[in-house]
Amino acid sequence: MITNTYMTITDLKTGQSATLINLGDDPAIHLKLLSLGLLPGDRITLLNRVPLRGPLSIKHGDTNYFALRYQEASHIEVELKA
Amino acid sequence: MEIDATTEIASTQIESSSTHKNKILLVGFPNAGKSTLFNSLTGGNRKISNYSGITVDSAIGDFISNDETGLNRLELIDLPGIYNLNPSSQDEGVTLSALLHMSDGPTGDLVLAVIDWHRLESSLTLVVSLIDLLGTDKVLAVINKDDERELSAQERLGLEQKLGIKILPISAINTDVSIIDHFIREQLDLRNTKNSSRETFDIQTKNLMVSEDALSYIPNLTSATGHIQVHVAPDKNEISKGINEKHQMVRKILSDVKGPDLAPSQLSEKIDKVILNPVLGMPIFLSIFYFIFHSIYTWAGPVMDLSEDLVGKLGEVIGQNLPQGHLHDLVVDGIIGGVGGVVVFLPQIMILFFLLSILEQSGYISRAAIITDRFMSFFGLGGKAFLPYMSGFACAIPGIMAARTIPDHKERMATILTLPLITCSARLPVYILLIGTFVPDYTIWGIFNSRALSFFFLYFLGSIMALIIAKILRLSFFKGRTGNFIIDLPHYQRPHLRIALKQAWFKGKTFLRKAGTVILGLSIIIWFLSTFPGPAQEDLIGKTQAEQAAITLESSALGQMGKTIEPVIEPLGMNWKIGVGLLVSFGARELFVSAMGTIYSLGDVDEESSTLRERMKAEINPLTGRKVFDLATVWSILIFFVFSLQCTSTLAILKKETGGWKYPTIGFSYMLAIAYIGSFITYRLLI
Repeated sequence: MITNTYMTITDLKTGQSATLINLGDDPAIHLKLLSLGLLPGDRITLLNRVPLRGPLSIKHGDTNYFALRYQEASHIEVELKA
Repeated sequence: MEIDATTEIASTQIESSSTHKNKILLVGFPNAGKSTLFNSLTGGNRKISNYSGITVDSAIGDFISNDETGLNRLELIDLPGIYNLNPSSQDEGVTLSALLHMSDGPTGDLVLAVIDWHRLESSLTLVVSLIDLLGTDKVLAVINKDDERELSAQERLGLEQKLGIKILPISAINTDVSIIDHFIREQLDLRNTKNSSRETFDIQTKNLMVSEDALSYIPNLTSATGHIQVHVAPDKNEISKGINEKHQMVRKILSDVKGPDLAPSQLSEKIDKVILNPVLGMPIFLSIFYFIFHSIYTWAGPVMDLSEDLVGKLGEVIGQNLPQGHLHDLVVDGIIGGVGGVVVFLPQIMILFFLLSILEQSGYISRAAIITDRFMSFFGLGGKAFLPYMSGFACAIPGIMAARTIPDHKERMATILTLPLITCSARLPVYILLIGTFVPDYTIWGIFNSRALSFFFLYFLGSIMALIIAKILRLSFFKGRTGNFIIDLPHYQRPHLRIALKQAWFKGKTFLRKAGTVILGLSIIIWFLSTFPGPAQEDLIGKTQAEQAAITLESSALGQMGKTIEPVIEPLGMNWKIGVGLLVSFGARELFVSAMGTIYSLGDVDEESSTLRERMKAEINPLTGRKVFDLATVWSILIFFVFSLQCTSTLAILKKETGGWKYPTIGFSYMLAIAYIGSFITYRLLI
């Protein structure tokens, strides 16, 4: 049986991959993520974390990298297929 | 709503275009290579950077090929990078405004969309939005290819067919400019010929939906040409939905026309593992910046000694060949002493800009923004303030302009009001003169050089004070949360030495031009003010030559001014001669060095000390018998320069960006207060 675990990007471990579910409620952040090409259903991988709840760097697809703040990442829901 | 002058210039010039003089607007993601393209097509020399928002002002340039006979005049406009057509900062608003002001008609202006291969899907989504808004007649595209993989002819044709526009694969750095130039001209001519032969031509009115916030960022909205109607979206999800749909469409197109990618390079990821490592990230960041200051100091040393010698020799040779008198003194003391004293710092300026360019090209700047974001946000500023601050190390003016990329008004104000505290390159001559002459040279802990460390400390002090004041402003006058911080990370690139050298050369030329015009003019004025009115002849009778020179300087207009403020600066350990230097430095910081150069040439009778540094070292206070420039006084002057806003150009740009004299006045006053108190404390601690 497949179990779905809902969590946010901040819950991921470094190096772990997940599927984007919901880009959060803030319209500005939502729009920026969409424009960078992050659509619900896409795969992302958490690559690096800056200490003390600093920004997180993320890989999107195979070749795109971007970074966002801990606070912003904590509103983005992802799904981990176990 | 703030409307800045440059936007107005850009939009009026777009409006006034006739059929014979087309404008080409460069539009694309930040760092897609627009500025490089602009530089090659127009021959202009603009900064090339890897961090969002370097194109802070839309720049207009003529195509180089305009000079060739038989070719139409074309103008290129470099616009700030955008991610979509819904602006979320003043900077992005400029780009949208330019699009709304494009000329109508069958032979109107063109958009040259720059597609980034690394962000193919998302940049194509922007192109689709542009085509939707303007029609296929008004859009051309170039695609910045990669070292590893480029678009095959078949893929290109497929894309062109699906999108309905022409695409040229290029490399912004290596491609022959004439190919790009020819592509633009050919497509423009084809389109114009095709449209002119039509009997009727309808201009369709298009609608553009933006969010309510976005509306306030678009300058000159009402004067737009009118073929695009801007509406506020009734529902906040409407815009997201539109972008999502376009993305899905582009994905479909790409999966139809594009072959498989090569295995992605893991290099960027591997480098990031080290650069963004939780433990190593900060030390690496600090080491890189220490290395920059170290290089400025150590690499430039020999070159500077050489140029100092040359300036000294020049003064001697000219001095011997001119008859004694006022002209001799003006040339030797005023011009060579003043301008020469500043010109010797050319190597440092060029090394600084060379290294900054290498850093910018490599892609490290975005990583530095991530590393420092936690730290910056503690002081109420976001990672978006990092680039303006970073530019501030070169000069406060581009830094203040770069702050336009900060969407939040209060955050932007806190950034630009504190930016002049960041140590700019104009402070460099003063620091090098004083540190290089008076701070003893030794090695600390086996690896650090005492002088390089002194530099680093001054840079650090300015930066930390900027952050502290920003925090105070963010807790009081400009209270609020920091804006969002989502940035794309470019792949690391091997920096091109050629570009860095060009950048250094260009900045060096700018520096020499300033030295040859502003500094020259002011040095001459300084010489006059420090020579006239001369003392009464009877005062000079029976005095030695050195005493006569000192009396002449003291009785001059500038000497009088220095004497007047002496009681104010005496607690800082400074005498009236230094006071003269401080007074003139409020015009531009380098003038401190020129003034010292002139003053110490006037008083110079010792044939042995041909350089300014030797003369300053030798000066003795007649009252105490001690050296005038002891460590306490030197550090007191340095601290004054770290904090004080001595730059008329910065005040002018602050006025322009904030729309009045209120904020420049506040900025000037608080910095002067910190400078005075800082110098006072330093002097008392060290004396």
